[in-house]
Amino acid sequence: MSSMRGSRRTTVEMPDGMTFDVLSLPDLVQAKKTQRDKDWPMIRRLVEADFSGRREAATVADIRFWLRELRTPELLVAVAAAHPERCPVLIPERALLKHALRGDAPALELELATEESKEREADRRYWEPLRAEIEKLRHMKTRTRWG
Amino acid sequence: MRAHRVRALLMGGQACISYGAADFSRDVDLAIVSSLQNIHALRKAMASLQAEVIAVPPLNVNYLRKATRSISAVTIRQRKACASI
Repeated sequence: MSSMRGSRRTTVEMPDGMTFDVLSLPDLVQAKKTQRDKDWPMIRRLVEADFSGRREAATVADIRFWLRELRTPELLVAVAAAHPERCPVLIPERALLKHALRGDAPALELELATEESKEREADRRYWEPLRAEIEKLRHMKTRTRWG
Repeated sequence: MRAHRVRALLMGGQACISYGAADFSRDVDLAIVSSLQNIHALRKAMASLQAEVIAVPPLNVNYLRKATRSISAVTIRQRKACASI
């Protein structure tokens, strides 16, 4: 798998040499911030997996990404403790980092739940006006062949 | 898709698997560049797979443009409305 943080895609190479392009991890994480229950544990797993795989050779972009997107209180505390100088600039966009800097995992857990709740609500608001339109299309739908 | 030079990025559950996060996924979600040329290529690719449209909205460049102008210009909210095939 090859990717650069900041690129919008990752290229995956299969054992047989075939390659395909995948949405970049930061974009995928954003796309998963929906109102669906199943997406939130997935976001947590995605960022944890990234942290686990890249922590030994982390770039500044990696650290920023983890501070913005980690949903695991203990890991957020660990990243903030290891890179406290990266937090102040990100606190305006993610206020819960102040709890990470203090090492307050219980407070972080509460704030992460609030953050998730706000994202779910934003997603609901986004889809609300589109729902009627999609319903209308659904009624008009006919099974058609491509081409 | 590759044979027909469709410009698309894998997203959704299959993309999560490729990033090492286990998931159960029965479909393939793609973010598709919404140009006429690309839609034409996609139609050919789907036709070669004998695929059928089973969900709304229809694969029409106007609907895709409403969702996303291009991969490079895609925004968080827009991406959620990308076509799922």
